[in-house]
Amino acid sequence: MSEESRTSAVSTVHLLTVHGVGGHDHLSNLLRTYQSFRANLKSVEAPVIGEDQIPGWRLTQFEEGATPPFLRLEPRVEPPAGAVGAVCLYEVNYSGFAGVVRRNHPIDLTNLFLGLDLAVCAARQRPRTTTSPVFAGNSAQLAQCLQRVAGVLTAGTVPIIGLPAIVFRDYIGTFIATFTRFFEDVATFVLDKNGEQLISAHLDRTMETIARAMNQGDRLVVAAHSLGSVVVHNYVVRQWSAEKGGVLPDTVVTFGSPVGLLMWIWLFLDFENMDFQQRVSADHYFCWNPVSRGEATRTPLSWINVVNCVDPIATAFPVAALDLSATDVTIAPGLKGGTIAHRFFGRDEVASVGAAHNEYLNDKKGFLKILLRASGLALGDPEDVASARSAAQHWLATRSVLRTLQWALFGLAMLAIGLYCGLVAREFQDPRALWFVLPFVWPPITIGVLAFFQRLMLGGPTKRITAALIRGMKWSDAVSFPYRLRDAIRRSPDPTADVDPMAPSRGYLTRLMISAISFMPTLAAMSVPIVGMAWLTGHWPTPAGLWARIWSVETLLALAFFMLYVTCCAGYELVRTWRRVVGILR
Amino acid sequence: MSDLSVIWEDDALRLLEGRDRYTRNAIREEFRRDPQKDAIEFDPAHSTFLTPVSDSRFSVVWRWNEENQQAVVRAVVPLTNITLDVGELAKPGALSKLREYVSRAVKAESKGEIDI
Repeated sequence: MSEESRTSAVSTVHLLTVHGVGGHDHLSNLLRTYQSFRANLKSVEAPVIGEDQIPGWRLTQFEEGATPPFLRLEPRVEPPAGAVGAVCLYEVNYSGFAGVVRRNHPIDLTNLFLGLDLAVCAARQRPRTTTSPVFAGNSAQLAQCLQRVAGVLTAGTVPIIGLPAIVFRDYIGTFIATFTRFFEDVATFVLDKNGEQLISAHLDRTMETIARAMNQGDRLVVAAHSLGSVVVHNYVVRQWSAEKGGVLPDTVVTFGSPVGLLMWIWLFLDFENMDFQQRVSADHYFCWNPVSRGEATRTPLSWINVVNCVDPIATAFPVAALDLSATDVTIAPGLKGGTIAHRFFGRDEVASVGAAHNEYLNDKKGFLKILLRASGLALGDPEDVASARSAAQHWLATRSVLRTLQWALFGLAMLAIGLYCGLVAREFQDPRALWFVLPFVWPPITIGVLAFFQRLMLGGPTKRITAALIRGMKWSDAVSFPYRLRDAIRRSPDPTADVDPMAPSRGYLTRLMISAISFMPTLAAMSVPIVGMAWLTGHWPTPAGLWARIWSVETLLALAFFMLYVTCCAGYELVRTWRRVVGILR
Repeated sequence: MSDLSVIWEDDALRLLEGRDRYTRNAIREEFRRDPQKDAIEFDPAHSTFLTPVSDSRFSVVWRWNEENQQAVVRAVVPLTNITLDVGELAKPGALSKLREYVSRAVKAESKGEIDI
């Protein structure tokens, strides 16, 4: 065979990685994917050649200025005809993209969480059966869990990431930024129609660009992480529509994907009885509509979904969740083997909780092996890479780790409140201050009280939730009660009065003042041991003494301990809920 | 552990020595444990096999010496385009294509020193 004919007969694999949340730029992601192929990024030592997972490949091209930028790899030895002759790595990052959308149009997290809390409450109070036709588990129980999560987020914004975040910004700034960015990114795609359309149009254009670079016999592999997997899922489903005809990937590898989670929430919030045929006629919570609109002939693509143990948002979703508008029979021909291949990896240890979401590219034995095989950089079929554990073992391990973490958080919360009360005891020189740990001993109560006041002080109608809908909620429901109470107190003379979508939101100073007011319940909780001790000892602090104390190191320490306590309580509640969800779905 | 004894030819050893110590040890140990694991007989006429090692990053090319019951290693190379699928290998022409590719890869890796 001549050199020329051999070259023309080889194919190219185009590997596009689509990243979701995070605070990184395009180039860092592209290079990170490449570097993870060739080095152990978890080691702080400079890499050695032995870490290279693809020693038979050499980097032949680096087009930083291309749109999208790409790296081209070719085998060191010219491959035989019909084999993979090159792999092009591309990257798109919708975190940076969403960041731009949000900079232009900032959203307030407190409003976001209260809006979610209200929407969940409204959906929960709609009559429904307890099972979903698509998802497993008892829907009513899962809805309770979602409500609890919304409550924790609602409770957390002001006392945890509000005013204390300003005081301790030098220490917890990165955490706050990641937390904020995560929710903003998700909101940008599922709640902001502009964000969704801009991101979708960008991905369409990227796919077209890659498709133009493809020759006959080339393959397209899309690896999508986190929010990126939601964007890619949306893209694939849109291509399944008869009206559209964009390039479809041959292989989709989703990792750390919240597709199942979001589809469940969408179905729960925007559809009667979780039935796709019964969309609620009122305002929809989600802006997206990831469904196919036709019965186009579907070329089967291989879909592998990788779930790391204790990744908080990664889910193993059913085939039916891919496209709620179609039946399993319609979806199956679009998937190789008629199904999604779920793979379970990751370390089952407390230190991995949360961090597991960003560990996929470091998993040489699991996820990376699948990705390398899917892109032709390693030998073998990606579907042949077996899970580290079965689905049942995975969820069992998850529950076990969460149980340990839940009680560790409880212990830490108790230590923090103990230290806080210890400071009060030191101030009053009376150990009885430690008795006041008791009212704080059960995290659900603490978070419940904070959520109650947040709902009462800030929870009015939103663009998505009307005043009439709030008035239709039950007084007897612990969640809707503060909303009803607030509505009763502030009842507008015009019962049809609604939020004006074109009106500007409150200014920064007003919002800061509202934050300060909504911090009052936390401040009241912090005062319990102080007031209690003053009452017990009869030593009531004078205003001058209080003023002098406010600007002391002890006060700063006390604030830090109390915030740590509240944060641990919130963490405890989230982990408890996560455990419960796994228990329901197991 | 395999009962086969393993002999490395000098040229193969030179190729191996060109790798870093982690790779050397991984290849040697894994191959010594079981030369026949996932092995492909790509040249039946000369009893020549190929065994992927170290997560298939490298392939050990060896000849079966029946007389001495030995696996004689001829080369170790990073091959990027071989199939381990028995069905694929059974297709007409697949083995000769593989043989040609391995031979070319070994020649390139050894700078023409080793001819399979």
